[in-house]
Parts: sequence; C-alpha cells; structure tokens
Amino acid sequence: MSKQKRTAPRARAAAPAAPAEQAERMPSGAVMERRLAETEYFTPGSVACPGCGGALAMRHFLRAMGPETVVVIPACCWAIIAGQFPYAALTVPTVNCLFAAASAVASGIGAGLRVRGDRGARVMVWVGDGGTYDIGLQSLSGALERNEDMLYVCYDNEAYMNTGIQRSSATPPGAWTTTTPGGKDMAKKNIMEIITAHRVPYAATVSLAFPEDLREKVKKARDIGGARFIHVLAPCPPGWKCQSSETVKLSRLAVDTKLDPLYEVENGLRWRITVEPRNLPVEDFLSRQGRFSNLDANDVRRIQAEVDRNWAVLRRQAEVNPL
Amino acid sequence: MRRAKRTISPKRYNPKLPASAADAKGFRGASDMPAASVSVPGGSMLVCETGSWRNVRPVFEDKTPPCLPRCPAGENIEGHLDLLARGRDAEAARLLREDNPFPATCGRVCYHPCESGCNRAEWGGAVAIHSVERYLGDLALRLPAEKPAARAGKSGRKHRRVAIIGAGPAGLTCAWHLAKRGIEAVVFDREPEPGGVLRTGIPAYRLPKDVLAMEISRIVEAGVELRLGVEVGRDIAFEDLRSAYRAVFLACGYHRPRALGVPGESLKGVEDGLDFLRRINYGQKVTPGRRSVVIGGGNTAMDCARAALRLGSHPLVIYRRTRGEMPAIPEEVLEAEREGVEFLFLMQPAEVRGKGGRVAAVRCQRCRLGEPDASGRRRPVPIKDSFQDLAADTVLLATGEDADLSFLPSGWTLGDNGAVLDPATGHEVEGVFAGGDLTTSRKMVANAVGSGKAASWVIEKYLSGRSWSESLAELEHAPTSFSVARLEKAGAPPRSSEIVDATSINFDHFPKLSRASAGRLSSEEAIRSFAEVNQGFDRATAEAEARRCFHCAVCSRCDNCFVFCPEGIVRHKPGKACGDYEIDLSYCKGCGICAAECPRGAISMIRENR
Ligand SMILES: Cc1cc2nc3c(=O)[nH]c(=O)nc-3n(C[C@H](O)[C@H](O)[C@H](O)COP(=O)(O)OP(=O)(O)OC[C@H]3O[C@@H](n4cnc5c(N)ncnc54)[C@H](O)[C@@H]3O)c2cc1C
Ligand SMILES: Cc1ncc(C[n+]2csc(CCOP(=O)(O)OP(=O)(O)O)c2C)c(N)n1
Ligand code: SF4
Ligand code: SF4
Ligand code: SF4
Repeated sequence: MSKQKRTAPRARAAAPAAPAEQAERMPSGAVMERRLAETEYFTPGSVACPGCGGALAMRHFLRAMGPETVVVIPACCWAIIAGQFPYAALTVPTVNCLFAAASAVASGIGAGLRVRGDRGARVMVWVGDGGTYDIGLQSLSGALERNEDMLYVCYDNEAYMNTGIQRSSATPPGAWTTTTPGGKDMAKKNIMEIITAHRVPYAATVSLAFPEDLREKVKKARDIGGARFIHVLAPCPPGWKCQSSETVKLSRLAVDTKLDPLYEVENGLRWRITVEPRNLPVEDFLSRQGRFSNLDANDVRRIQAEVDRNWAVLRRQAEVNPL
Repeated sequence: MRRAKRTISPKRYNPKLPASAADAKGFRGASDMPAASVSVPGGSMLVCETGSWRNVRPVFEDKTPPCLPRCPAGENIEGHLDLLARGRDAEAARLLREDNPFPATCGRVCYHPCESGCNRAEWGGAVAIHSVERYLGDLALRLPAEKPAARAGKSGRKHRRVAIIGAGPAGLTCAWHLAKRGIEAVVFDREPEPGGVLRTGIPAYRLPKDVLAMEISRIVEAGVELRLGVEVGRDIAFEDLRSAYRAVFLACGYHRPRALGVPGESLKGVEDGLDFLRRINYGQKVTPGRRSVVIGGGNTAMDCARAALRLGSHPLVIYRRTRGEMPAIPEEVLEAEREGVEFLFLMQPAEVRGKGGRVAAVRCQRCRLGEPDASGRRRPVPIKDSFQDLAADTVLLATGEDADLSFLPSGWTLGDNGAVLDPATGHEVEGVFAGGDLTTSRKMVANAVGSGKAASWVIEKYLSGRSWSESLAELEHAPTSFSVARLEKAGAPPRSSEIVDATSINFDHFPKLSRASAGRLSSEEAIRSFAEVNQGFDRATAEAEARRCFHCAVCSRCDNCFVFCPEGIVRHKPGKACGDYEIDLSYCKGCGICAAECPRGAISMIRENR
C-alpha cells in the first residue's frame, strides 16, 4: 500500500527506485577524495556556538536541498542562529513562528505555494527536539496525518538548549540537565516509531559523521511528495558538556554504539538500516560528555541493555519488513 | 581582530538575492522571496565577525611522518606512497629515486627501520614500505634514465671535479647526486666491478646481480665516471688525488678481516667469510666441506651459512651471545633458520683443531652474558672448563671487518659527521669527507646511501664557493634522514619537522586493513639454487599497500576539514581545482572540529593572544 498514491498532493519526482547505496563505512581514506560541490546557503557570522551540531546539520541539509527551499523555524536555538532582525544567516527564505506551530505554519505555506502555482519550492521545517517531541507534537501529528507536503527535520540536541538546558522527552536517561540535576530517570521517547505509525512516505535518521548517507537521504526526501521526516542528532557542546571539537566524533560514536542507528523507512512499513554500526560499548559515547559524569557502572549497564534491546527491535523490523 | 571597515555583500553567498525591497515585491516562488525573515530584505549575518570569539586558531601545517626520519636514506616515503596510491606509478618511482639511486637494491636488502615507527602498526600492521620500495625500484629500472646535467666548461673542470674512493653504495650515491647537479664525479675502486659489498658480499638469492648491474648502469648513465681496478694507496697515491681534484670522498668501507686470534686459524679449510662470498659472487667454483662452522652473528655470518647450504654443506652458526644480541637483520636470521641452518648460542671459539694440516674441529668454550659493553649489548663471559669440540670440514670466519685507511696521512681521524680531522693542525681537513661504513652508526646499505647524499650536499656547497666549515655546517640543515627532495621543495604548505605520532591520527577515517606480505620460495626450493627467495609485490598488491598509508601529517586533500566545519569557512582556494584550502579567519570560532576530523594531523590548533 502506498500512502503516497492516496493523498500525494503533488507528484514531484518519484522516490528513486533503486535503494540508495549503503553509505561508505569509512570515508576519507587518503585516496578517497570527497568533493561536495554544492553551494552554501548558510552564511558565516551566525551566532551558533562553536562546534554547534545543529549549525553543521543545517549547512549540509541546505546544500542538499538547494536554493528552492523555504525554511520554517519555531522557537529554538535556530530561531537565534538564523539571525536577528533584520539580519539573516540563511540565504533562502526563512519564516519564524511560534513554538508549537511549526507544522501548521508549514502546512499553510505549502498551501499558499500551491495556490500560486509554485511547483519548484519545497518547505523544510526545522525544529529542535523540544519543539518536536514535546510542544509541537500535536501539530506535527496533524500535519503527518494530512500528509502535508513538507520535509520536517528534527535537529535533536536532547534538551531545551536555547533556554538554558532543560530536559525534554528526548533527553536520554542518565543525562544531567538543569531540571534533572541528578540525571534523568525516564527513557528517551522513540520519535521514529511515532512518526512511522503515521505511515508517512519517508522517514529517516541521519548523522553528521556520515555526510554521504545524510546527503543521499535528504536528496531522496526532497524529491518525494507528501510528509517526510528526518531526525538528526545534533551534539551541543555547552549542553552536553563536551569539547567543541568532538561534535562529529560524538555523532560517529552515537552511531557506532547503536545509540543513534542510521536507517530509513518508506511508507512507515519498510525499513532499512543504512550504516552498519561498529558495535562499540555505549561507554565510549557517554564518557566523553560531562552531562553523563554522574553515571556509575550500573547506570551504564542499564543504558547498554536498553540500547541493545532497541537495536534488536530495529534489526527485526529491518529483517521482517525490509526495504 | 575586528576590522574597521569591511564591505559585506550577501551576494557573495547567494547571487539570487534580491537587490532591493522593490525587487523583492511580488515574488512568485520561493526563489524570489526575500532573505530576511520578515519583509525587510538585505541584512546578512556577515556583519557579525565571529572570529573575535575564538582563542585558538586552526592552521594548515604539513609536518613530518614518523617513517621519514627513520629512513637512513632519507626517502620521502609518504610522498611516493601517495603517488602510487593515486595510480601514478612512474612519478612515484622517480620521486623515490630523487633521494635514493638504489631503490631496487634497498627494496631487497634494507633492514627497513622506517616500518618500525609506522603509525599504521596498531591498525592492521605497519605499511610494508620496504616491499613497495622494491616494486617501485624495479619499475624505475624500466623507465628512461635521468639525463646527465650540463657540466661546467673544460676550463673550470678541476674546480668541479670530485674524486670518490670506493664504488659501494655510499660512493656511488654521492657520485650520482653530484652528477645530477652537473659536478664531475670520478669513482675509484680496486675491484673489477662496481657495487662494493652489494657486488661482492650479498649473494644473489637476496640481491640478483642483474638488478644491481642495472641500477648501477643508471647511475653511470647519469654522468658518473668509474675507474675500476685502481687501488688507492697502491696504484695511485691519496695525495695525488687530492691535488688533482677539488674534493675527495672516502667511501671505502670495512674490508680488512679481523683475525680471530686463536690457534689453528691458518689451517687449510679456514676461510674469511667475505672472501668466501666474494668468490661465490664472482661466479667461481666454491665447494665447502660437508660440515661448515660459521663463526659470527652478523649479516656476513647469515650469508655464509645460507650460501654454504646452497653449495651442499650443512652449516652451523656459532655465536658468543644470544639470539637477541645478533647484529644480523632479524628476518635474515629467520630465513636462515627456516632453510635449515643450525645455531649454537653462547659459544666462542678457543682453537681450530686440525688433522694433517686440514681443519677437523672447532674447540669452543661456553659463555654466559655479563655486564653490558659499549654497544649496550651484554658482554659474553667465557665459562671456565666448559670446552667442547665441534666437528668441521670448513670454518668460515664472519666476526667482522675493519677499515683499511693506511693510504691516509698518519694520524687523520674520522668524525661521526663525516668530517676528517688532522690532529697536526687541529682542524678539519679541507675538501675531504668520509661516509658509508667508515662513519655511519649502523653499517648498513641505507645508511651508506644517506651518507653519500649528505656528502654530496656538503661537497656541492664547498664547490659553489663556501668555506669548508660553512659547508660542513650545512649538515645541520640537511640531516641525512631528511629527504633532499623534500628540503628543496619547501614552500606552501609549510612543513614542520615536528613528528606526528599515532595520537594525532583519527583512526575513525581508516579501515583496519591487514598488511600484505610478499611471496617467497619454499625453503626446499630456495636451497637448491641461488635464485631470489623473496618474490616481491605485484602491481595490485603494491598499490593496495600504498593505499594503507595514512599520509601522516601531510594533507592529502581529503576534504574532511571542508566538509565538517560547521561554519562552512574552510574553502578551496580560488582557481585551484582541489587541494589547497584556506580558512576565513574573520569568522572561524575556533571549535577545532577541522583539526579533530583531519584524519592525519595536518591541521594544528594554535593559541591566540587576545
Ligand atoms: C655479507 C654482507 C651482507 C650484508 N647484508 C646487508 C643487508 O642485508 N642489508 C644492509 O643494509 N646491509 C648489509 N650489509 C652491510 C652493507 O653491505 C654495507 O653497510 C654497505 O655496503 C656499506 O657501503 P659502503 O659504500 O660504505 O662500502 P662498501 O660497500 O664496502 O664499498 C666500499 C668499496 O670500496 C672499495 N675500496 C676499499 N678500499 C679501497 C682502496 N684503497 N682503493 C680503492 N677502492 C677501495 C672496496 O673494494 C669496495 O668496493 C652486509 C654486509 C656484508 C658484508
Ligand atoms: C510557547 C513557548 N514556550 C516557551 C518558549 C521559550 N523557549 C524558547 S526556545 C525554547 C527551547 C527550545 O528547545 P528545543 O525545541 O529543544 O530547541 P533547542 O533550543 O534545544 O535547539 C523555549 C522553551 C517559547 N518561545 N514559546
Ligand atoms: S602510515 Fe604512511 S606516512 Fe604514516 S608512518 Fe606509516 S608509511 Fe609513514
Ligand atoms: S571547523 Fe571551522 S570554525 Fe571550527 S576551528 Fe575549524 S575552521 Fe574554525
Ligand atoms: S582534513 Fe583532509 S583536506 Fe583537511 S587538512 Fe586534513 S588531510 Fe587536508
């Protein structure tokens, strides 16, 4: 069953038939020259913190999306990074909106473009984890249910960072935030299962450490009609209490410890893991961040068990319902 | 570092931006929409020079990979591996020869200290630099020879002529580097054929004689003159050489056998190991007895034993210390063992016993290890009354040689750096330099090659008008372990002599691949002839091995810094298709991601004083 057929508001290019190639596991060997020749749509001079994962994410998403993109940003760090009136850090049209309203605003812009007969532009909704997992969840669910023509991106820095590191439902267990001074007790909400339950045409996770995989998925999502969702883990040096230079390293470790598996889901039903993790212990990821410094060996073991369980579930999905 | 005035043009980043509010009105699609979040267009965050935030700054700085200073011949290892990995084999071979005119030889007999420092060690094993060197060396033999450089006219000849004593690797390397720079080098050797120990000592199963001959003919073609069969001190006096040439390079090696100093040494069947090898290497018929006892633990001992084995004898090597102290290249010891050579350690000869004027046995005394001696190895101490007779039909003495410098004026001494001291004046002798086994800390081929290169460096400076002491001082700028090719091509990007170790390598970017090893003849097959044992790498293996190199500390233009900078300010320099990068420091926040994600430590973060 293809949801795309049911409500696809506008058939753009069909999803590429051939599955995107498994991302190069070990990029950038000496001879493997990687040249991403696209233009930049994110200017220097933004006020993102040094080493901001969200900033690097936007840079690569826009390079893949191209100039025909309208960005919708609700309250979050990126509302600041994108520039203070009247200055802009993005060279594509950017619309700021209320915290809970991003998906509704995107729906409206999509409708407006349609009415004007614009067939080229794509709407990219760019929201933090607070705005996605918590406060924007109902408007997001509504837009997914209507299969609005948008690419919704959650850059997940695992807390409300813009207002000073308060926990969200994306904050992982054990993590320190100002509102969980002893470490968070609850599990991280599984947003991908919520999204795929809406049976949207395309949902995927990407990582800053795997730029080819990221680019392929964003390009694929760009050219599909209907609601698409991409999750990108965005290390935040001040919020995670980590080195600003380790943003990419932590992204890579998150993938390799199976904390942030990379996969894609079509129509909510067919799953495919795109990067095989190196299966490192979660401790490798946790130990490099101050927000986990209060964990003891038992906590780490519990987290490892949970990660292994989640991975087994995902693995089974990809085996039983392969893409 | 905020600059007072600066024109900021958002168009630099998006040529499609509307130029004014009027243009922005009535847009039809997303591409026409204004850039600002509300309807006021124009303002760009480029006004905010975030470079003022940082206190560390990234700098592109190529440094020195650990393999490089360990190569006694000073090869630009990373450089030729890079070319080979990119499929530019011929250029790789030429780059290699720029530093070493004996790559096919060194690729066979070198003890490859370069590999022991390789940062790949923990990631599948050190890069097989040595075997790749052989592949490239053999390739170089099939390439057109280097053209001799133009020489100075006849009149200036004496002033551009250098005499070299000894046509071993040190002498020939020096001559070759000089010839390439248009300086006339005349090499004297008492042997009928050039090559030194490479010709007379190392047997063909390790270094085929045609390979050596081809390599030497390349050197001669570059404009080197050989005078063979001429012994300095007998056929021509050293002082005559000095007056006929501007400079003299002493490279006559270690050839005077050291006497064992035990009774029975002159019995029939006792032979100097180097003489034994020399006769074999010149193709003479040599027939050792059934049992040959080889005395010594160096390369000569290993080759005597392995050669004797190939001539139908059963060799036994006796050495007075233990295996760990043997000066021979460990691989050669292993090969000897694999082929069936027997070893007895902690044994020293006390007497050679004979029967009817011929050797019959070696009387040995057992030893134990005592205090370390000057070389740092533990001294063998003979144990009282622990004698033992070992039957022998042939005894080969391989206990080392000394230099024979009797042709020099008495009292002259050689310094470690190659300078020659005259105690009568208290000064360095002008225009005379020594190298190869005579001076190097390790008596090995690659060291000889490196010292020949250093000699050429000093002599060239002297011939171009510097004083002798100024010329000698040049050595400091040109340590033999550094590539001349690299030194001469200094420039952008800067190269520092800082050596990067494995902590500067980002292993995440490299797959763990195992080191390749070369095929070899089976031991049964090997001992049947003097055919080369090691089969070397084929093209595919050599290239795959070159791809394993990390290119430590040398930017390979992988684009990682460009890809991972969150600010997008690492850029390819305008006009360059790829390869050269620059960082817009007006905006760099100093996060350090570029340096951390550089696979090879080619970016340094340096502190800024603000
Ligand atoms: C059997 C053996 C095996 C070896 N195996 C290895 C190995 O596997 N790997 C390695 O790295 N090293 C090895 N070595 C050491 C290596 O061969 C030497 O370090 C190297 O050859 C030294 O080079 P050189 O140019 O200083 O002198 P040499 O190679 O000794 O050349 C000196 C030349 O000077 C000539 N000469 C001497 N006196 C006079 C004179 N008065 N007039 C004219 N000519 C003269 C000699 O005939 C000789 O040709 C081995 C040595 C031996 C003996
Ligand atoms: C309705 C509403 N509540 C609270 C705020 C204050 N606020 C602004 S940004 C922010 C945090 C956003 O967190 P998240 O979505 O995770 O993005 P991040 O800042 O971490 O990038 C909050 C609470 C707001 N702007 N509007
Ligand atoms: S990886 Fe390459 S550059 Fe680095 S030490 Fe080894 S051979 Fe040299
Ligand atoms: S990654 Fe970019 S911002 Fe960070 S230090 Fe390097 S050049 Fe500067
Ligand atoms: S990351 Fe790659 S391109 Fe950048 S300096 Fe290092 S080797 Fe060169």
